[in-house]
Amino acid sequence: MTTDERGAHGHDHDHDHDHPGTTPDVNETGYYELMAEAMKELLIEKGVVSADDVRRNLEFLDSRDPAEGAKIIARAWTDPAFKKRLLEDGTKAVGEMGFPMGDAELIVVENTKDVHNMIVCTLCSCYPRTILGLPPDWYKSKSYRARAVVEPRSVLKEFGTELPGDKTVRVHDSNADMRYLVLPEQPAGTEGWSEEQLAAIVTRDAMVGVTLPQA
Amino acid sequence: MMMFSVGDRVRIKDSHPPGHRRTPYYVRGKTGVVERYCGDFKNPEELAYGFDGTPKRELYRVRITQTELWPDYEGSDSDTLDLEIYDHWLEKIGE
Amino acid sequence: MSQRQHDMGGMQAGPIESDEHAAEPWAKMITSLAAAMRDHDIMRIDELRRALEDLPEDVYSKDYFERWSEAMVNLLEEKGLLTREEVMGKMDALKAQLEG
Repeated sequence: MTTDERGAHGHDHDHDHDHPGTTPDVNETGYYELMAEAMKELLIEKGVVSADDVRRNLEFLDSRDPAEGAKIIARAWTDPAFKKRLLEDGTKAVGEMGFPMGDAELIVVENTKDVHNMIVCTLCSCYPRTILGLPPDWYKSKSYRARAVVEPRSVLKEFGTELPGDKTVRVHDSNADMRYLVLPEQPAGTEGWSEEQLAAIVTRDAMVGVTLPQA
Repeated sequence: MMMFSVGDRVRIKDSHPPGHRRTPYYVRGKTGVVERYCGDFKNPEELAYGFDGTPKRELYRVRITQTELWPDYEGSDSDTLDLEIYDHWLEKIGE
Repeated sequence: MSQRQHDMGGMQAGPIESDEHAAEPWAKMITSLAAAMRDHDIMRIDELRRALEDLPEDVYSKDYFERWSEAMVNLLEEKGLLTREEVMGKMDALKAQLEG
């Protein structure tokens, strides 16, 4: 069996022949780590991309963090005019704060006493990466992608979130060019808090809509 | 000239063409209401195969009630599923 | 036509595993590599999604970044930018270096 076939058809530790270039005890991750490095080096050698291009994108990726996204929420909670702009045109509003959206557009959906919003991408893993960074494993999992659209309340319970039965739950399937951010309700008892204090209680999970912020 | 207006009742085509489509299986053939016009975007069904995706298609957010989607839905009758559908997947239903 | 493997809304699935792992360096690197190619319009996200969707079932069922890597190799080969054989060869060379 060549390394070629091994890659294409899946991995099985129970064979006793060698793959040229990989020993049977190289684990799956080691194999893919090698593949990623190999691809990168080949593409750079061939002049398809430069090492600089990759490095710049990696730096941008590393600069993304949910704590940055939390600042958007905190600002919306303290600045009603900004909140209005955020809900009317999410892309433009977060642009004011320096968040680029690329080719996508941002829609910010507001949680109220009547409505709870939850975000999923059933087809792949579309996610507001420039605002929240990389999505968590669960967001990309079959369990979440399959169940969020059909049994949102059951999924929310798994995250420890229980909603009143008469509250409207809106699930947004982020399946095309829009990206979504949930604007959670400001928790009771946080009136008068500074933006910094408020941002500290806004978690990534609250901005995806699976939990509620706690004061 | 936009093909659909906010509030229009629409049906998502019950079509199953092979290849890259951004209309999830679970909404095909279902009806909903246009919630907003999202803008014009290059057609992903063409971009996926190396075409340039033009002319752009109109993208709409369609709101579907969960009880329309799932026969045994456990939740509020007011719960919705909102998603983005390109114009060529939508048909307007009479008033 | 039946529901395709990637088109997961409504499929049967179990509980959600909430424990998280920070993305490994190689996963972030491959993400950045894909982003760099998109910057130059060499590889579009739509093409990568299509390549993922078209993976054989047993490859699609691998972990997220593993199947991404497989899809990328297939797509890059389709575009004539490299071959799977070259990738395997480079992997051998890199491994030899590591062991050297």
